[in-house]
Amino acid sequence: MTESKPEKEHLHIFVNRRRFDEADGVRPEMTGAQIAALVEVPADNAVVKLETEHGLRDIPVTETVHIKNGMHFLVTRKVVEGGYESRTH
Amino acid sequence: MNRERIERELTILRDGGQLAELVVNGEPVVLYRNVPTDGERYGLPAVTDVVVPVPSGYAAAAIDLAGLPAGSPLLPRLKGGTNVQRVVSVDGRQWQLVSYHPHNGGGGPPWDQMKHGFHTYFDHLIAWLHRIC
Repeated sequence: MTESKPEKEHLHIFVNRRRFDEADGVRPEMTGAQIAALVEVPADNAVVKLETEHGLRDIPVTETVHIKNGMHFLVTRKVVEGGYESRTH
Repeated sequence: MNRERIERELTILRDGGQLAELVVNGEPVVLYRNVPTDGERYGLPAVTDVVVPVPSGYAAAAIDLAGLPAGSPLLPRLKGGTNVQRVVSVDGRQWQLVSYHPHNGGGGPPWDQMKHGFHTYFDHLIAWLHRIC
């Protein structure tokens, strides 16, 4: 009788609700900049946040994060422009 | 409208826990539910539903605009939020579309139909909803 071994779970994270794994560049340790690059936001324009049970935690682009499977990140942009507006925000 | 393509794109988000659906009774739109905002720190909603029209000729035509429930307190605080476009009726609610063009000067990359879609447009919605003025 053959015993089935549990399949090793591949390292993966979610950025903006999309799944990324090692083939996409996920590594055991990643900087905020590397996480932002997964969704093609340049480091100088990126705002990276880790979603935790206590809320969002800012991750500076230079900070190294020890990646755990299934972590969720939000990556937003510093530069966001609307169309023509009658007043300045 | 390439319905199969849109459903594939939305499945990517659903697999990551994001509710999003294609609504086609009326003007076709994608309805994203409970999208996180940065509003809480300003006493505004921490999440909101968002609609995005499916452009005629998608995916050759770029996705554009975004809409929140009419009267949302977030609208006047968002980039482009005071430049109102049309109102659409979706899911039994009225939605105000506003002038946000991430692929055309709004801060995102130029539209590339080979890699962009309603799954990547979610990136731009989050960015928009996290730049509250």
